[in-house]
Amino acid sequence: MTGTQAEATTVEEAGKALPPKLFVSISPHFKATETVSKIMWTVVACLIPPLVLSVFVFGFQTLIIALVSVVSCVATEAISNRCLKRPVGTIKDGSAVITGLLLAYIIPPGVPYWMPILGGVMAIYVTKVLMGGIGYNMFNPALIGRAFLVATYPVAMTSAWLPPIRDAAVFKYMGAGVDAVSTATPLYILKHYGIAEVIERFGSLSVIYRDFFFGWRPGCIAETSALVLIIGGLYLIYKKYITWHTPVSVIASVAFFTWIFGGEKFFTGNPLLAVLSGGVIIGAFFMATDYVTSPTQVTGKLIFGAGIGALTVLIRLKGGYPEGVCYAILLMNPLTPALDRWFKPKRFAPQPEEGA
Amino acid sequence: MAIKEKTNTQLFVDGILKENPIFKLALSMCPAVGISTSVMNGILLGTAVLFVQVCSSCTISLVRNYIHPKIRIPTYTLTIATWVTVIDLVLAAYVPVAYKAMGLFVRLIVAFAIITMRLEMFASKEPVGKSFWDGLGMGLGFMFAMMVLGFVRELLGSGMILGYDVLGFKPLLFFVLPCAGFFVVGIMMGFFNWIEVAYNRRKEV
Amino acid sequence: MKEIIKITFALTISCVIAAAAMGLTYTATAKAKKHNHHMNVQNAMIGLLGFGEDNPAPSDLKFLNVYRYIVEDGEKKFLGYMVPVEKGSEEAYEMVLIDLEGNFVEKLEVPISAEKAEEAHDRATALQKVLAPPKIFTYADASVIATAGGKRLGYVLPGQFPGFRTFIHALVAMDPKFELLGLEIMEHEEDAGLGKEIEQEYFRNQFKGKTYEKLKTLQVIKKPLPMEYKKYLEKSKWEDGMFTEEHIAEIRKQYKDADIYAITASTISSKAVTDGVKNVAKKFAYRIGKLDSVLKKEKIHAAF
Repeated sequence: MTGTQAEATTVEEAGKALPPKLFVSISPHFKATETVSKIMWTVVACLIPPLVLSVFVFGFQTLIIALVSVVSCVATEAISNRCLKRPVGTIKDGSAVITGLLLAYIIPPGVPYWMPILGGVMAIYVTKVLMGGIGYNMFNPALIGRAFLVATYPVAMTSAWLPPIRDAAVFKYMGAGVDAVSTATPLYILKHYGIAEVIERFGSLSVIYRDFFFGWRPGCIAETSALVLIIGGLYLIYKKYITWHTPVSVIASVAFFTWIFGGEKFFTGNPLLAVLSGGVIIGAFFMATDYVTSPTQVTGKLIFGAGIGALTVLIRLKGGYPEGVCYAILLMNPLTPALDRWFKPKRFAPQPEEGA
Repeated sequence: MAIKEKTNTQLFVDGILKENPIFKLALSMCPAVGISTSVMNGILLGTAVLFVQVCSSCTISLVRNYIHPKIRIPTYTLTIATWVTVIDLVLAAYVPVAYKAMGLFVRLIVAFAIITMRLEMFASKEPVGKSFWDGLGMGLGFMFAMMVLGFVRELLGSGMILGYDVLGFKPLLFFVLPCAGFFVVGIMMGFFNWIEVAYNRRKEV
Repeated sequence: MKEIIKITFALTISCVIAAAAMGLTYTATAKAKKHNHHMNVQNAMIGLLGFGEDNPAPSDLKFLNVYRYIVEDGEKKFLGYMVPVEKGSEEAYEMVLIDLEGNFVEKLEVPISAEKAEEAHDRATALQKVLAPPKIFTYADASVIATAGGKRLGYVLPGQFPGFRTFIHALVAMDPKFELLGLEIMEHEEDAGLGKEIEQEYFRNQFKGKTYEKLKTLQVIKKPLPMEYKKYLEKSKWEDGMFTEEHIAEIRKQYKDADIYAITASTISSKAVTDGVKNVAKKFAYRIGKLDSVLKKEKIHAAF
């Protein structure tokens, strides 16, 4: 329902810009006011609030990490495009900025400041530019950047978590060695010590839900507040930049599979905790909905999301890492072309020749 | 286009550069990706391949007129397997030191695409002398490629060259992992193609 | 039809030639190969017991093999230990049968010389004579007990446990109090550059000096190996003056009860070796205890 309505409105809006005379052109036939760069910059705007919040949760260095990451991504794109004699102007479309932000959001806040640079180079140059630039990458660049960093610096990338600051001392961690203050994420504790230990460390379940929802817990920047991320995501859905299908199906399937397999017996898992912890929210709203690397049709989107959820739970429960959203999305990414092909939209016209 | 007869030297050099098994023919990628984590591994596997390639090439070339065309491939496999077994046993018996280092690699070789491919493309059609040089070139080319890959991966992955700590730290652990093998192979392929293109252009000018 | 016969014939001939080539090489090399293997194991065992260039092995160092068999007699199952015994000045073998609870059942003399006992085939022939059907025996494993000057120096246990790819063959050495003396990886097919690191000193030597109590709970931890500890573990790379006596004692004390640091990116191989060693050592300690008490009770004068 929503899908058709959305189409109708865009057609209507775009119809105003249509010239009076009929003409033949290749698609898209209707030009909307939305451009790629406008969408991208809106996404950037939606991603800013978590960053601001994270400064108060993990301290000022998150801002530096985000800045380093964004600058290195944009610089990589500019330099590599110049070297390959492609237009350098593509950096203005904001996609490199998004990649940089997302990359910074999914690495621990206590990593050394130079680390995002490497991740940025990997994300932009190898994943995007080498594949042909925006629109041609098969994998989500930010996630490849993170996967590369995890493979290269497994220790820093799995232990540089910081306990949240509750007294607004945002410069607390700036000079301190990370080792001195690093802590474990709730998912790590859940995986290795069980739910009882999580409750012991983070307070009763209701306190956990509240803290996780508003953002006071160890994790990466994007793991701070589910609330802020959901608001950003809902705005994107409201603007019709993304549809609700993928996020809902990711979250539902994480909750569903955790409920079944997450506990000691079947059907005793804690779905709410599973959804609120780790990168499920940011993955669902901002990464699994990436235009280039996710399916375009409704059925494809639902299957894509469900696959991500299932793989996430599988990695969380059985894999070697406590969190699996990153790898789950990366594993589903290459399935996108197939999903698009299998679930093509129905043609309205019986024969395409007649329509033309 | 008339095919010019290649001299023995040309065959030898082509195997290393122009028709390098890994960078140009893109054959035997699994060992290239899996084993090339250090220069030493590259040398050892390269030596093993060199032996088996030369021996099998000569054998097949010797009996090339007697091989029934319908059972070519089984015959090649059989020849390679025999040579692998023989070399493995001989090493174990008479050169225990080398066996300790290479034993693992020699047994891997049976299924290498590069050897079967050279037997099919070259040794089964050409006389023994030529096959020998071709096998030698291919084997050395493989070794060269493995060493280049090993060099890059060992240096970047563990900060060492031939087991000696040259950097004193591990810059990018990623490069030791199997997935980085693909990465390095790809970049090296690009690099060698680039050199070739640049070289040809220069020759034209 | 004619074609098929021709192909079959050609393929058969090729196979026969290949088989002949392989067979000939095998016969020609078998002896040398066996000898190499034997020397290899012998040297590894001597090394594991802590003997080397600067600490030569005593001249009367002996490696005595105890072969363990599983003997079935109808429904009943026994453990059969083929033990070297002292008979005057000569060495002989006796088969000691123990039931599953560890009680002595019977003792049989095995007519075999010490040299021949090392060959599995010769052993089986000799055992056939004393363990006639309906008794069925199957070979389980062999353990080596090292003695010198009439005292036990330690045990060397050949272990075989599943690794990342195929079985890892290793030698585990323990002193008479079951403290680990060392570990040597003999054969494996782990990935070069990753799991192959189990051969390295910095991994193997971590097992050295672990007490039996610690061994029971030994685990693999996914933490980076501390630099100082790594340098200490790589004994063959030591330079003069790198470690003082106190320094060594300090490091040894610090890491005595540490778990095994996993090899980076090869946790599965590390875990396989650790669990394997744990298993081998624990089982052996239990069995040798049972065997010793039986030997003592029955007054069998074993050579160890």
